[in-house]
Amino acid sequence: MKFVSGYCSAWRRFSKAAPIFVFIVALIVLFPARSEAYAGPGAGFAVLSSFWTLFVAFLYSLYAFFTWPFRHLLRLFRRRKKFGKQQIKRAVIVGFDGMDPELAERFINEGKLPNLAKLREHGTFKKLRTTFPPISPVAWSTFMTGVNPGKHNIYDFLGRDLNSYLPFLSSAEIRGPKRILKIGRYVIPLGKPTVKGMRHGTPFWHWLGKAGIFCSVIRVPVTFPPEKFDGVLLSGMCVPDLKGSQGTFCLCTTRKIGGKFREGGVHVPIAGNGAGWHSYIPGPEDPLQSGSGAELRAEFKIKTEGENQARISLDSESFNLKVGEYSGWIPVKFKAGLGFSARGICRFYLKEISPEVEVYITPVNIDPGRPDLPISHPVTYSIYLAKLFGPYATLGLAEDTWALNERVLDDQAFLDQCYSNHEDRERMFFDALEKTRDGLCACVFDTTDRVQHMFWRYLEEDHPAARGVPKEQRPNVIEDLYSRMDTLIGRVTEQIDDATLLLVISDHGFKSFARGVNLNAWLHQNGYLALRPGKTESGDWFEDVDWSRTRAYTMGLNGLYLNIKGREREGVVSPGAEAEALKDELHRKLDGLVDPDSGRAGITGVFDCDSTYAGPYVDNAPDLIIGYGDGFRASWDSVMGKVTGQIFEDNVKAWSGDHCVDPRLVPGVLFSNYKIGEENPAIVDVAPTMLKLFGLGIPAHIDGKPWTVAAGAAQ
Amino acid sequence: MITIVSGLPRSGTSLMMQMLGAGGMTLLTDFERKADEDNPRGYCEWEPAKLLPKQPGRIDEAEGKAVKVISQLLMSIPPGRDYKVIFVERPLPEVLASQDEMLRRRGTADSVSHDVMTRAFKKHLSEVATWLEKRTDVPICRVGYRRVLNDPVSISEEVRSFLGIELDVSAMVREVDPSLYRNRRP
Amino acid sequence: MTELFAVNLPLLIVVLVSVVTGLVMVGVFGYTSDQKAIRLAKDKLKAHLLAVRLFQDQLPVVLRSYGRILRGTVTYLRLAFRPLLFVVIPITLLIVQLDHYVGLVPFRGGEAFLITTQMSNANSLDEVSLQLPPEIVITAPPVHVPASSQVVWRVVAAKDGRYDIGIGISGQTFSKRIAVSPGVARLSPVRLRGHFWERLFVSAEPALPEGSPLESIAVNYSDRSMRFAWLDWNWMWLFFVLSLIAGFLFKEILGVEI
Repeated sequence: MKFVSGYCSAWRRFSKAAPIFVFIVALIVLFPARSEAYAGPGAGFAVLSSFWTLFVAFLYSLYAFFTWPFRHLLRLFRRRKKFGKQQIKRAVIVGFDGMDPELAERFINEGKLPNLAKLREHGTFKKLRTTFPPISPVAWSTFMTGVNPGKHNIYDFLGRDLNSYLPFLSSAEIRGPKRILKIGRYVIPLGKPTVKGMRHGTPFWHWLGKAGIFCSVIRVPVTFPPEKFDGVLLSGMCVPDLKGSQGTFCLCTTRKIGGKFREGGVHVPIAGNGAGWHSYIPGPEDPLQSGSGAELRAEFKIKTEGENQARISLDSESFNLKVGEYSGWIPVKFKAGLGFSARGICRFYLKEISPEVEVYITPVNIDPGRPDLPISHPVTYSIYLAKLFGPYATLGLAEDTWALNERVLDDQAFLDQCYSNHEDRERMFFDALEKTRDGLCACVFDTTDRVQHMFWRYLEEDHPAARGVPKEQRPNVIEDLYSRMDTLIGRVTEQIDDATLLLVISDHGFKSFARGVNLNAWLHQNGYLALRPGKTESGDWFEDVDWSRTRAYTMGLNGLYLNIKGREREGVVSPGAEAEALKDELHRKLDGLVDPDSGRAGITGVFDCDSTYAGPYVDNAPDLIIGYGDGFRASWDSVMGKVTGQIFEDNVKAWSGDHCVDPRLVPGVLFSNYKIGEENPAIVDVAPTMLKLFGLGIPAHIDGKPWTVAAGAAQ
Repeated sequence: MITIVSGLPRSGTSLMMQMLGAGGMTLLTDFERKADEDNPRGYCEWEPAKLLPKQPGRIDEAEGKAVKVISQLLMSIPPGRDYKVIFVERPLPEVLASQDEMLRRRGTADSVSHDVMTRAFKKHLSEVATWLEKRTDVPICRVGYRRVLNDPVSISEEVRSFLGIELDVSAMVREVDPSLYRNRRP
Repeated sequence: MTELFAVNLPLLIVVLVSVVTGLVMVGVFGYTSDQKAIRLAKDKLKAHLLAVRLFQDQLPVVLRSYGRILRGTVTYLRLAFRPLLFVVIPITLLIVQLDHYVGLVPFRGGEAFLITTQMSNANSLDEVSLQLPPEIVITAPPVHVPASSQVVWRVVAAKDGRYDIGIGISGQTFSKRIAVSPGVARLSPVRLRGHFWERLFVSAEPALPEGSPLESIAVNYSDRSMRFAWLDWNWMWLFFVLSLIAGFLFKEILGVEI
């Protein structure tokens, strides 16, 4: 281009711009060019966004690069304080919640689990003793702290309020913000809700982190709220949904609503006609009207598009959905006014579009990309995973077993949900594995537990929940499940070397749940629990129970409580000798309780908390732990504190397998690529074993004993 | 080694001290507090334990012996010694009932409700537990009071194993007298 | 009052055009780009950025993340520039037209300025004459620059107005428009023969005929500087910054991913 002097300035501006207009990409690579060299704000946006990203990344990298030697030295200094020699460079713990050793062994022997078979052959396969009771929050709490429940304070999913006899979540307490401003009937929160963890004890990764050993911990149960330590952690089981519950699904329907769901869900009407429908998603309590019970709602519209498809619109999102199909994770915003809102994510499942319209909506999960409550440590870890892989389920009990139990979802829809969540979890785990070149990488997969709970009925010929389903029509869900987990282990073993210890563990095993035992009914019929005059049954949560004449009651899955004077608000049993005598009496009568229909023992063990637990939180333990026999479990009514007329009854729900039984019947699995010398390992031993293998001393309060571990044969 | 028997007041610490004494350990006690109906065999207490917050070095007087340090004072023990702590645990309702009985016998009444006391004790026990977790130099053996009464043999053997010294288990077992399970109701 | 607005008018024009351009750009961006892909690309970039922070003690992870950031940036830019293809030409033309109004300052009454003619060759310098309207007078004899084949006159305009001056040569007269004004006017600093691209960006007048002995007629308008936020700005920089700010604001309101 020829420059013409005299009027140069104008042409100069544009002549420089010309080649840059053509080579826009080149100019944008690192730094923004001069103003005349851009094609408008569009390029400027791109330049600014990408430049900012690169600039920040560059700064971080510089900081990481130049400070790395100092931080490395500091880590080495911290590590030199350890007592012994570090035996392993990296440990990978894969938790399969509820994987059963008998099933695993059977499938291995049938040649269906080649990777676990290899571990058995060259490394270790043993049964892993579980906790009393064998419930996931109890067992995983013991796994991470290395102590018995008397020291970590988790005995069940639920605890009981000693004043009201009502249940509360035992692992965490969520309270409103500390400061509020009341204006008329409005309550303006001046802060975020507070979350207090009720699990005590120190997870072993805390000690590892202090010694400079990096840990990635993903979805281990009872890690909500997440605790600070040197590593990354994504909270698992017990993270609530946006409503603060452990999972409330929503069935939106044009059908007339007959009654309430027994548990886990709500009905919401769909209004409208063929031209268009509308409904809403119930959300959390309105923070501006705290205590009034008013809930926030997110409206959405449905428009049928053909026989098999609908278009759903809410807020700024619109998507098409076919019948029998799940949507992706859809962001939902619940507006409360005055700028307050709550954000979450949920998935839609179109059940039916004609003649009636029915949509199932998963519980509204906390949005991992913008969490309203802390669900990871650091806070950015859940955001990092969301940005890398997209939104994912954050709810502790993400797989909606209640929806299948209530027959809102069918088997396939439930399985689709489970495996979708499982795939997300695998992606997170393998990312953590890639990023944790040395240290600890631990991840718990819940799919094994949920699927076995819901599909055990197909393993037994005569399970009440599957009577009438011919054998050839029974899907091989559980065998397929174990096979998928085995494939996962295969991928893990490909990515680790001999210097990496691999542990594949489960917190407990599984047994059939064919018969329910209503212990409250037994207590009532045997004079230990009284109802108000004229009542033969109670409502949920001991409605109509006469506490002044009640000496014992049960709630939750395995706990039996005495109504102790000075402990329970309306206690009648004196502590000390009277309580001891009553315990002995109940122990004698319940141990070996026979089901008259089957002739089998519904209860095969009753365990006194005094001889089972030791620690500062023994006072919160049930007085007796009930060990149900193979095929039995606390009935659905008994768990919810309901007294009925029947002690033993068939369990006909989809939830047909369980582990809340005699702990001696449901040990978990322990696989490893290393040889583990301990003859009778227990889940309480994992924590001290990890500390020992990484060369750290074992704190004196830990109950578990470290295993002797040696590298296995070549894999 | 300094053996410390600790726990809440009225949780069975005196009984554990008596068992250790019977088993052959030397007890650090001043016999100031005499045996009475609430503790017919004596309290086995050591008054200077109350000075530990201000004079933590006094604990050295217990070298080679067993001493009772109530849970509230346990967090005052200084580092740098070889400790072993036996922590006796008793259900809080029993502890409170026992305290009520003692106060009633002395003609005084506790104006604080059991609810408040229970919460306060639970909070205190939690603080002690957290403190003990951080003190990796203080091994601890927790024993349940009821187990002591119901299964004194196992408890005595556990204690002997924990302390790592020779103790006369039979003598320890003989110290346990169920008739001393105070505050029994008909 | 008129003077007040006259003084601030260029700034007002730039601000208004910037805001409108920002809005339009955001709209076009949202309409023509793959919003989902951009969102994903940006999310991945953020993830790798967070990885640098989360795993900062693991140098191989940090370096790998940095590599992924670079790769991700290229992907993002590729997606973000697609909408630009739709707006490059309109925006360029807008800037060109705007430059005619706010890029240069018109002559003031009584201010001397130069008229420069560029000849095809130096032989015809003596044949060139300047024809002025009464309001414009020559203040010095013409200066011949044979080395660059130019003739330069210094003139003064007595009062405001839009004038056509003529350059006579070989029996032909070629006109050039001149603006004398205290405010904003459409300015053309040069009239060119040929030079299509230069004419497009710089000249606001028709081309000189092909075959004319003149290559160009130019006047020396000054560059305009704008005072904004205690700084002196070239109008393009100001337009760039203000349109970006407007764009980022509008993108939030319109929910466009950029």
